[in-house]
Amino acid sequence: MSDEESGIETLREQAPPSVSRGIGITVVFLLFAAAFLVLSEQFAGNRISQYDPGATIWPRAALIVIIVAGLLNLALLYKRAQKRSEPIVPSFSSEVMTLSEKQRQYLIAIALSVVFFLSQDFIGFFVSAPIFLFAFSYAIGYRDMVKLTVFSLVTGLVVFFLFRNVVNIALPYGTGPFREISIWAANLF
Amino acid sequence: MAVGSIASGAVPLVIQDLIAGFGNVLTPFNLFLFFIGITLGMMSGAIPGLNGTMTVVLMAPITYAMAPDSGIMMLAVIYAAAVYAGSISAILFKMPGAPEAIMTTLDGYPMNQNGQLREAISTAVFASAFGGIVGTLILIFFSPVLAEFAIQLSDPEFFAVILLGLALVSTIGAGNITKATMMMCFGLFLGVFGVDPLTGVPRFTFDSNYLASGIDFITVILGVFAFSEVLKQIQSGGNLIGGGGGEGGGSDFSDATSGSMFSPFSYLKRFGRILGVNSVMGTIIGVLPGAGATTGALFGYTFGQRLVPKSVREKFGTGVPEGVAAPETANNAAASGAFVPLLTLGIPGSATTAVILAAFILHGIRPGSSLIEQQGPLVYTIFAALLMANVAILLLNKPVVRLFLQVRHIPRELLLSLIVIFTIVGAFATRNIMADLWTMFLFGVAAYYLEKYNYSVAPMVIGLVLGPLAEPSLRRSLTKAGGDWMVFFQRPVSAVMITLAVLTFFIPLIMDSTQFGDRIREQFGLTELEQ
Repeated sequence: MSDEESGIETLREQAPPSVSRGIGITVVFLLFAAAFLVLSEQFAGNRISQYDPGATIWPRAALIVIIVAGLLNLALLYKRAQKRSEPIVPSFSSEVMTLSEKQRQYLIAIALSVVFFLSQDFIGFFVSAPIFLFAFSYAIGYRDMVKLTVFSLVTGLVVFFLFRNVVNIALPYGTGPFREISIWAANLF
Repeated sequence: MAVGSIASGAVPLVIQDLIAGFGNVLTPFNLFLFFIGITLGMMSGAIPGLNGTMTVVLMAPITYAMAPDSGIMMLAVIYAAAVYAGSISAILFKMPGAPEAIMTTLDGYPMNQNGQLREAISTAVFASAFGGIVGTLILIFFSPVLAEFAIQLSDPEFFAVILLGLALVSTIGAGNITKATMMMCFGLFLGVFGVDPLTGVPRFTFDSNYLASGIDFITVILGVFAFSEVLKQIQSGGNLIGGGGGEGGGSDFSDATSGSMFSPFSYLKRFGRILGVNSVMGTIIGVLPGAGATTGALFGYTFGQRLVPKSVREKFGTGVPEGVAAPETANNAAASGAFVPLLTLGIPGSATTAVILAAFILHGIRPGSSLIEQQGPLVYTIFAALLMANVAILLLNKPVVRLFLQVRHIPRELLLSLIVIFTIVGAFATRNIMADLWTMFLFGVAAYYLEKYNYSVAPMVIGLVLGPLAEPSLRRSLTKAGGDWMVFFQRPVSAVMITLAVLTFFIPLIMDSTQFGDRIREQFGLTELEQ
């Protein structure tokens, strides 16, 4: 098999089974563009002179092209779905959906990231980063607890001190006792 | 005197000045500073969250204690090395270490995944060094001419160049141009959030202070390239560093760390057209005030697509060396080009050269038309250092690559955690705003699903970068022309650019959405590539 053929084969494998999700994504873009096109009206009067086309011209141009390209894309997707006799609306199985191990890891990774972001204002980076690194690595499958503990602590500390003390960027300190701990740590060096 | 005399044909004098510049760089103290600059530049370029601009900012006050030629030479070297080093993490982790390396991720990372890590890095090194050296030579010999050219260009030309870039971009990695166009315009629209650049009135901010400062493109880049890749690797169970005996074929790690110190010089022949055209075009783009190396990389990639045979062009975005050579040549050339308006007009061509301008002022020197005459030794020391920095990139490549390849010994799970933490810190460090973490996260998750359904996110990022440059130029052009849209066709450069942009954009779009296009695609067997 030539390189070109194998490239096409790879793309075939990556291709989604149905165009329905592609249509869904395009529709989301169309709705987004339509909504902001309406909102853009409020800036019509913002201009530096009578010859300035105003603050709406650029966003409107972008939004209109999104709508035109989106509609064209819908037509193309519809035409190709018809050619391949694919369903436009996805069919849903009545079977109970079960998550694979990888899907579960993916969802946990997302959840941990969200918790980490939320914790920054309260716990701060210094305390939360080692915990996050530990939990994230564990969640996606690393099981050597000793190495994991060392990795989490060392990485968290190095990143904190690198940004705080070397490039002078203060990562979030948190509040209350966590802030005290972070300030104490920052003053160590 | 030196450069001014070029016009009268006194090239040897330039060579003499350049030799004196080399002599100055090679003094022990300056050589020490040179290596400090190379090391700091490579580190800051390769680690997301740090970048060349930030490092130059941090080092600028330190240079106050040094002689101007030593201090400013070091800042210039940091900049040159950082532009190159951004490609390392782009290739290894799909995480552009610096904004200039956005386009390198598109083919560099797939090459890594396909087991072509050595070739990807060698190509990046060679193209970077070539682009940097040619850019610097153009800087040395043609600064006055380029400065004159740059000063004659005004908003219509600048807008036309960007429009052409956007039209070229609409075909990046796209089997489906309508999708790419949609994504590009989405990026353009994201760039309008914040304060209207001309009137200063908030636009689409919804009374949010965060939106008033606009959507930062570095935050978006980290989300759509790095964070989404981590999510993809978790879902697929794959490895960030490819070629380890997986499906991609054999590993070439051993080749990456052994053998010749230099990248193969056969690359000169292999990528000849890309190296030649992109180094000159990159320098010219760098000369344009406000454009800089990131814009150079964007244009370089799209120029590269058009300089290769059709069979290679169709594979852009899937991991071809030409897709690495093109942006790396252009961004390093643009980094050198950005010094032209700085040194000859006192106008910084990019954010980093703006900081270097501040360093000049800190030392009591005002760059401008008389700088080269009055501060010849300083200027030629900078030129010599830039040339040496690009040679050093070639020489130091092996140790640097060897160091970075140690990451393949890190277990996959820990490596993914490291990428996530650097992505998070990188997003925060750009502006010290917590909300940037959420922006990075949202774009990362969205990009994961968009890529999954073949909506390429690269045009979106490019739209976000170029949009804020294009809008003020468009509006200023029209304001100055009394609202006459013909202003874009009354000036030859902008007329040609606009015409090319329209043709570049509409011909593929028509091809993509008509029966004629279908017939062409079927004839060339492209139907299967599209979704």
